[in-house]
Amino acid sequence: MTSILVVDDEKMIANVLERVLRKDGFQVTCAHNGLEALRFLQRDTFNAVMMDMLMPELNGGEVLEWIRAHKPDLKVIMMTAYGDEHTKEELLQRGAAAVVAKPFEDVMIIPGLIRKIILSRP
Amino acid sequence: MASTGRIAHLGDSPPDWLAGVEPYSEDTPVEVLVVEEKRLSPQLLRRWEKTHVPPALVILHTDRFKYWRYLADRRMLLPPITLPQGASRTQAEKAISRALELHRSHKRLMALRGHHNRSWNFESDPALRLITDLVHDCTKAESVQDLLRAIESLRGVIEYQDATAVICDRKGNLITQLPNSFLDAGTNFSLPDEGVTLLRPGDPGAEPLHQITDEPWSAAIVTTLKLATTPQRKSTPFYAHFVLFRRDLFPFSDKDLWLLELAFGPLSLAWEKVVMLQAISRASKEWRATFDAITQPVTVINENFEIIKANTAFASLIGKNIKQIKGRRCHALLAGRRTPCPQCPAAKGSNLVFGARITGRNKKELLAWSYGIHLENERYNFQFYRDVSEESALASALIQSEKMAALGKLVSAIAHEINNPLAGILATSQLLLADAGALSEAAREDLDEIRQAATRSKKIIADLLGFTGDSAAESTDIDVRAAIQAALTFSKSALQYIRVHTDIPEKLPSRPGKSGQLQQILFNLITNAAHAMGEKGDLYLSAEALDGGKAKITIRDTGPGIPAARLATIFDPFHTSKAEGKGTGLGLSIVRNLVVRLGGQIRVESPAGQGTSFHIIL
Repeated sequence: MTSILVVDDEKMIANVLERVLRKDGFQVTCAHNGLEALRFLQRDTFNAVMMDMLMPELNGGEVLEWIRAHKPDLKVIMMTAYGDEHTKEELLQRGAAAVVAKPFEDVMIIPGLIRKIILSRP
Repeated sequence: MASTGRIAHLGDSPPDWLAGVEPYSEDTPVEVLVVEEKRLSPQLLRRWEKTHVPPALVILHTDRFKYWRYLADRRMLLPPITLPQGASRTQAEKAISRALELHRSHKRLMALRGHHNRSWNFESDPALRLITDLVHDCTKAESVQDLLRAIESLRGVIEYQDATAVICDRKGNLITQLPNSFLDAGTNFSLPDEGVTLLRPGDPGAEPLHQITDEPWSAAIVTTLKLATTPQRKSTPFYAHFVLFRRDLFPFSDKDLWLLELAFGPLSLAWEKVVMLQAISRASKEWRATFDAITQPVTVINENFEIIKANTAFASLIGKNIKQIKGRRCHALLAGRRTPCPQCPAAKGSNLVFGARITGRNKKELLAWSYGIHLENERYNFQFYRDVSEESALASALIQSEKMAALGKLVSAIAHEINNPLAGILATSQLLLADAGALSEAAREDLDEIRQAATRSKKIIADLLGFTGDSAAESTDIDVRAAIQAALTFSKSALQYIRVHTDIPEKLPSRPGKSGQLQQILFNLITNAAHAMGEKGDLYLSAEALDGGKAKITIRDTGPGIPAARLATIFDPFHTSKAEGKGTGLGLSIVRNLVVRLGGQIRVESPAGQGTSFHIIL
């Protein structure tokens, strides 16, 4: 089963994503800050990570760097409330596979997006 | 009365200074007769004409003296002196002593001529007629040239063919001379004191005259006038010399001398008047020039706010000819008001009031200073103005841009904070709606409301972030034509019922910048126009190339237009004419921000009932 790590300090978003992805057949683990996410990443294996940018403790950018250093094949989809071109560009350069602006156009298309990214070549 | 002479008075209401003066009686000969204007009559004058030494007249007149013409026609032997009814004691004393002088010099001349026992006959004495002409001309003279012309008539009186006259000052500096004069200007000599003097070469005092003529002369008559008023200095007495020279062998006769002495009185009066007129006209010109040289607008107003004087800077401030200003009220000219401006410093009455701000026509901002002065019991105000419209506009633009920057930061921070919970709300409502099978119809509808509200909030935040300029994109050359086409394509749904007319030339200059920004500008303006027109209307989109590689884009609609009162604020954030929930009030604000970011300008026109036009110059 495809396993996804969802990281967002906004619990509501994490919950929604968890439910939407489960419904679509993913196995979902939720973390609510960067440190927690790091613990899951060290322990378990995931097919993709969907992570918010701005978080307490350890932010998305720092976790992204850790992933790039330790798990170069893991696909990371970044979420950001700063949906501007500049932020997107920067995150893609830092190794994100995709950047999704918050609020989402339609949350229901996210499982499809993740699937597409997992299948894509690095 | 201090004068020592025989004075009489003819009239009903003698002024105070005539106290003690005898009333006029025909039997007692007098030297000076103070006569009230209304008592003058042709009979009286005729009687005096028959007397061989008539009294010198001081005519007391009310208001303006109207008798001149009549007297001039009568060719009075002794020019009458006029005095206003309300004249002061000093003025009266001066007039009377001059009249006495006239009378006595005349009497002396009469003795000289041996006319004691003959009565005057004007008709039979051509010389006298010429003299009276001279008197008449002198009283009318307004310039030195006029005087000279009058004096020239003396050529005929003094029976010589080879003579000339000069007017020079005490030091012999030539002031002016008759045309064809054979004289040169002399220097440094003194001429006889007041009066008329006949000089021959070798006479004491005649020496200086050799300096003003380099040709031999046989006789000269020097008429010296002592003047109180000079064109240059008011305090120093000024002497003017009329010098008549003769070159032939025959000296001037006594008669010539007598005739000149006769002319002395009116000549000196006329000269004084001319000098005074010159001084006044010079002073007035100087004052005018100084006043106009002030580059700041200045006016002098009276207590009724009527403009007494204004300089050219003031005239150009209000865009009127200087001649149209005098007598108008300052508030009418400056601010188009019927009452004084509420902040007017002149209305405050104190002596010096510092810069008060008044609003003039065409929204001009003026800083006004006022300085109050009292002249002859009347109050005047010097008003100084400075046009500060530009400074104010700059200052408010600065404040505006600072405000916008602060607002931008605030909005950006809030928008990002809200985006997170909003993302949760929106996503949750979408998720719930996706598997809504278990929900009741009513619950589903409520849920959809939540989803719609959240979507709207998302758009508002996107607008806000766009407005604060947090969007980044590649800066390239903008193809204006392509941007217009793209904007039209995007706004197709809004333009469903609207006829679109385009007039876009094939070639338009390209501008550096982000194409997306221009598209956004046009999209906002087009959708605004569409909303303004409602169901149907016409939208005109045109573009043209301007000089200097610029392009002008015009978007015109046939909607109801924008009320004049709101035109000034439509570009402000959160200004909207739409119903609550329909617009964020940021559309035009974003438009202006983007236009400014592209280095362009935007203007709006909305003549009543003729729709609205936006002009963008990039």
